[in-house]
This record gives sequence, C-alpha cells and structure tokens, in this order.
Amino acid sequence: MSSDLAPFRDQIRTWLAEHVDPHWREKMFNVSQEAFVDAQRAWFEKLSGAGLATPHWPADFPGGGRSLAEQKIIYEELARADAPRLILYFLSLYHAACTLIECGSEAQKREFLPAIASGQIWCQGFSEPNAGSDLANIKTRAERQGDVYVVNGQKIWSTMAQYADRCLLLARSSRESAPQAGLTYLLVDMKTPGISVRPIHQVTGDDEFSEIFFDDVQVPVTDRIGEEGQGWGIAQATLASERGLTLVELSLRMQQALPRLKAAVLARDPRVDGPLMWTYAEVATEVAAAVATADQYLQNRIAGHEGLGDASVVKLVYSRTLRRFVKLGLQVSGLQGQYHRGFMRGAPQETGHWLQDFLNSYNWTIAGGSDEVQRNIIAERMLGMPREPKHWLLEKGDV
Amino acid sequence: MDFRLTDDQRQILDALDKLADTFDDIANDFHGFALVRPDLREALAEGGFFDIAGFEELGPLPASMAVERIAQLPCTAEVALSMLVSPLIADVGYDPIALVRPGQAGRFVDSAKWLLVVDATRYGLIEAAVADVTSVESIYAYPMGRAKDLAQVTWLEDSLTARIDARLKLAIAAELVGLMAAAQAATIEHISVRKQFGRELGTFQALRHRMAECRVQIGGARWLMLKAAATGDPGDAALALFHAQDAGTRLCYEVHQMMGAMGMTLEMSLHLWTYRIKALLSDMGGRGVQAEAVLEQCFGGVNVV
Repeated sequence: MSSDLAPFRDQIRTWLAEHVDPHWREKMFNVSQEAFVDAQRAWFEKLSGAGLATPHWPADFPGGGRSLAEQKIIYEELARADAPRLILYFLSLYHAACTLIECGSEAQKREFLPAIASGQIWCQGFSEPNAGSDLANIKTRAERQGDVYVVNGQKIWSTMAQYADRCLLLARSSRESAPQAGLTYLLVDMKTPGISVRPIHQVTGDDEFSEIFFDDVQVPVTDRIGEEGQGWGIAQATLASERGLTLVELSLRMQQALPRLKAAVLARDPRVDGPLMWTYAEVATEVAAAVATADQYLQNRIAGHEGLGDASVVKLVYSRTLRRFVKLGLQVSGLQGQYHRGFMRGAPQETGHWLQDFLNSYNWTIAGGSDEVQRNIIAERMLGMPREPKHWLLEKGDV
Repeated sequence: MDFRLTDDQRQILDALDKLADTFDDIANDFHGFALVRPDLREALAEGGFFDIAGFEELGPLPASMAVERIAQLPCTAEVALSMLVSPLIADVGYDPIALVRPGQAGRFVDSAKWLLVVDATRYGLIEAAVADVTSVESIYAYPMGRAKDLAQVTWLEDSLTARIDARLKLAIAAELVGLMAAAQAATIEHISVRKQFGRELGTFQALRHRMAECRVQIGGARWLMLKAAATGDPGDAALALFHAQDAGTRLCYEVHQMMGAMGMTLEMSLHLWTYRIKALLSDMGGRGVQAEAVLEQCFGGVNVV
C-alpha cells in the first residue's frame, strides 16, 4: 500500500508546505470569533479548491472518491504539517454529509452536498438540557401538520450554531411508542422564523457552543431525512461519523505536540532522571499507544473488518490520553500557566496554553458519546459482559 | 501499520491455536503456584513452531502472536525466548533458554539447557550444566532458579546486543499481552455469572467500566507489541514493554479485586496468569528502565527538544 501511495503522499505534503501559513497559530491567539470565522472560511476554500476538504465523500460528489487509505494519508499529512483544523465546517463535512450520504434521499443529496462543498455551515441539534448522554429522552416536539412539522423545544451544545445555515435536528414526533421509536430527523433551515440562537460562554473564554430555541418553527416534510420515527437509527449514523478518521488525525496531532509538552517539562525540572521526565515518558508512551490504536482501527476498516466496540476504544483511548497529556502540561506550568491568558482558536487540543488545553480536554470526554457510554459499549459489545438489568431503566421511566 | 497476516502466517497460527487448545486445562487437584508443562515445549518443537521467527516467510510478527497465544494458557513452559530470541543466537537451536543476571533468580533457569547472561552492556551464553544451577522456591507462577557459577560465560558479539535486547523486550511484552488477556477473560467469566445484590457483578458500572479501561490498555499494549515485532526497532520494543508493564500493574489489581477473596486463593486459577504478570513487571529492569529507554530511543533523549 505504502509504495503505491507514496506519490500521493508527496503531492499532499508539497501542497501543504506551500499553503499552510506557518504563523497561523500566533494569528489565531486571542482573536475575535469573527476573525476566526474569516480565517476558517479562507482555509476551507483553499482545502476545498485542492480537493482536500471532502475526500471521504463518494466519487460522484465534489472532492470525493478517495479511498480510505488515501483519506488516512491526507489526515496524517494535515497533522504532520500542523495545519489549522476546520472546526467551523466539521459538522457540515462529517456529520451532515455522512448522514445525507448514508440515509438521505437522492434529492436531498443533490441539494445539500454541493452546498456543503461550497461552504454551507451546519450545526447539530441533538442534546437537550435534560437529555445529553441519555439521548433517547429528548423532549423537543415535531408535530406533523399537513405538509410541515411544527417544532417546539430547546437544543443545547450545538457547535458553531450561531453561524449555521442548516441544522441536523432530532425531535420527538410520537410519545406513544418506545422512546427511540418516536424520534424523527429533520434538516432545518436556520433562517426559518421562530428559531433563536444563544451562544454559551464557556470556561475557556470561548463560545463555540450555543443553545437553539424552536418556537412554532415550520419545517417542510420534504426536509425530513428517512421516514417518520426512524430518527434514532439515522442519528447513530451521524454520531458514528466522528469516531474514525478524525480521531486518527487528532491522535497524530497529539503526537506532533509532544515536543511542546517536553519543553514545558524540562523548563520545570531539567533532571534526566527526575520524576517529571518519567511521567512524560508515561504520557508519551500512552500517546504512542493511542496513535497505534487509532491506526489499527483504520487499517481494519480499510481491510473491511471493523469489530464491535472498536470505535469506542479509539474514542476512549484518545480522550483519556489527551486528559493526561494536558494535565501534565498544566502541572508543570505552575501558577503562571494557570492565569487566564486568552486562548487560541482553531488549534488542536494541545496549544501549549495549558489552562485552555486542560479545560478543552474535557470536551472530548463528553462530546460524541461520553466516556461512560463508550465504556458500556466496550463492556457489552466487545467483552460480552451482561447488560444492565432492564428494571433499572423501568424504574427511571425510560422504557 | 498493516499487521494483516499472509496465508502462510495465518495457517501456522491456526495450527498453533489447535495445539494450544489441548493444553488449556487445569487438573482439579492442582493447587500449586506454577503449572509447568514440559510437554508443551515438546509439542511445540515437534510442530516446528520454534522456527517461526527464523523463517523469512513468517518472521517475528507471527512468532510474537504465537508467544501471546501460548501465554494465555494456564500452564507455562519456556517458550517466549526460544521463539523470539534463540533464532538470533547460533548453537542454541530449540533447547530451552533462560535469561539470568549474576546473583539473581530468573525464570526457567533451573530447567534451561542454555543461560543467556546479561550484565550492564552485553549478553553472554553459557551451558546451564556448567553454571551450577539450583532451583529457587517462589510464589511466582514460573519455575525459578539461580546460577551460582557464570565464570565460563562466552560473551556474544557487541553487534548482537541491541537486537537481543529488543527481542527480549518484545518477547516479554508479547507474553504480558497474552497473560493480561487471559487474566481479564477469566475475571469477566467470573463476574458475568457471580451474583451479589440480586444481580451479576458484571452489570454494575463500577466494575464493567474498569474492565473496559483494562481492555483499552491491553489493546494499546498489543498494537505497540505488534508494531515492535514488525519493525524490529529497539525504540518500538521499549515502548511496547513499557506500556505492557504499565498496563499489567493496573490489571493485576483490578482482576484480583473483582475476584474477591477467592481470587486470593490457590483454589482459583487467576494467580496462574497474574503471578506470571507480576514476575514480568520487573523484568528487563522494570518500568523505570523502560521509561529511560523510551525517552532515549523514541523521544530524542532529554537533551533534545
């Protein structure tokens, strides 16, 4: 494989060397959200123009048709070049596109995928104040009235929703069946009357998440994906989209950032055999294991045999390793490193601004299925352990 | 990195799997510390399995998988070094070989034909028959022995040192990965049927989540071990052993805790895996030495940032 694709890797590497601004990190430190959005748009256009923004799409859509092996190379090279991440477009390119490709009608694919490839921004409306990890418990209603659904309710933790053109909305269309069976999936135009968005100010100083309020919002039935009541299954396709290539890329970026951590450790204690260097060795080894685990997951997918729970292992090992990584950075940076000194937008999780990194690392223990959910999946599907008894769920009123 | 096996590699590992199945039992009246099966070695030699690493078409990758598989058995025999280290050393052949440090007890030293002697910077070889070998009582689930007279050791060429060192680390990492997987499987079997508070223990998240974490660590150790086997790189071998020793430290606590008081008896078989793991946790200098090797060989040493 490697020899066949070596020219492709060289081509990507050369392009990135020519187009990644080596000073993008400094430029994104303490900038306004608007300046960040402008920079993201400019980077998206460059990547898209080079066919590097949508390599995971099928061949008959813009920029698509790359094999999984080629996609892996693209993400390895993006990490190697320390290129900015497309955070503004992440939901659009992965969650929205993968959901449409897997579950959308032909008409929906033809309408939305070219728009996404041209820079349309999507957000996700799944979590609610009382339904996070327990996603089947959502309460936002979608009531069918003729040719439209009338949506009322509230969503939360919607990344970049304040800039979104469209929303992947999971809403309850029936209360009569089991919780999962009463959900319907809608593709909502964010300019529809009745929608209001309130950014949430995070402990990092950023406000990348928002709440979305739906007040008698009318969504055409033609913007429903799948059939009414099939929302739960489609939502699984959406969530699965972020547990593969992205984590390979993020693991590699963590490995690329090891020198930054090492410099911080040595600045604190230059002793060769000091306890901090041992801890650094432990963290560096865990990073190597995370990279190897993510790499093997993708190799198995390329070979066509992904095992039950494999994706959860990759997610869990990444979030746990990231936490240890940034915790050590925060520990060695002392009080000085814990003053709030602003933050860097668009960077991976290890910017070297350790307080920001530490606080950000907890996003990954929650987003895309919490660590606890991943552990349950591994225990049941991979290790074959017995399920939790149903009477517990019955007592909670969830089934 | 692609660890998919060729047809030849797959066939030989399938055959090994069948052979291993015939040794996967524990006599009801066995309550000892180490379940030693010399006939396992004989069966492996007869099947040609000690040749795996030496054959160009097969190599260290399937050999490390073979060591991993054999380690999952409740019984033990000197296999790992014969499979992965002996092919590097002339004259040793299929004979049992043990690693020995002057003055220290070592695994299989009392039953090996050859002793691989290690000092600070080099490896040497000596026949056990001339090294005044004695058995040592131990609670590790390995037969242990000590060599009293190493004066006639023949030091091996310096060019072999790094390769032997890497193969030893790989062999121990592969054995650890197999042992950890077996210890976890035995524990999961127990907590999946053992009921307390009206439920199987394994349905409590306090336990299942810790088992999931152990699985993640074993998985990471396994991928690093296979990578070390595939590359032959000393740094990869150090990484693999460091992570395996790290994972083993946590796993031993977790599996014994979940087995409850019975896990601390010889009536349950858990110690047949965990007391081998414990012996291997300090092998090759233990985690401290591995940490230094990892820093030096993989992350540019401490002076290069």
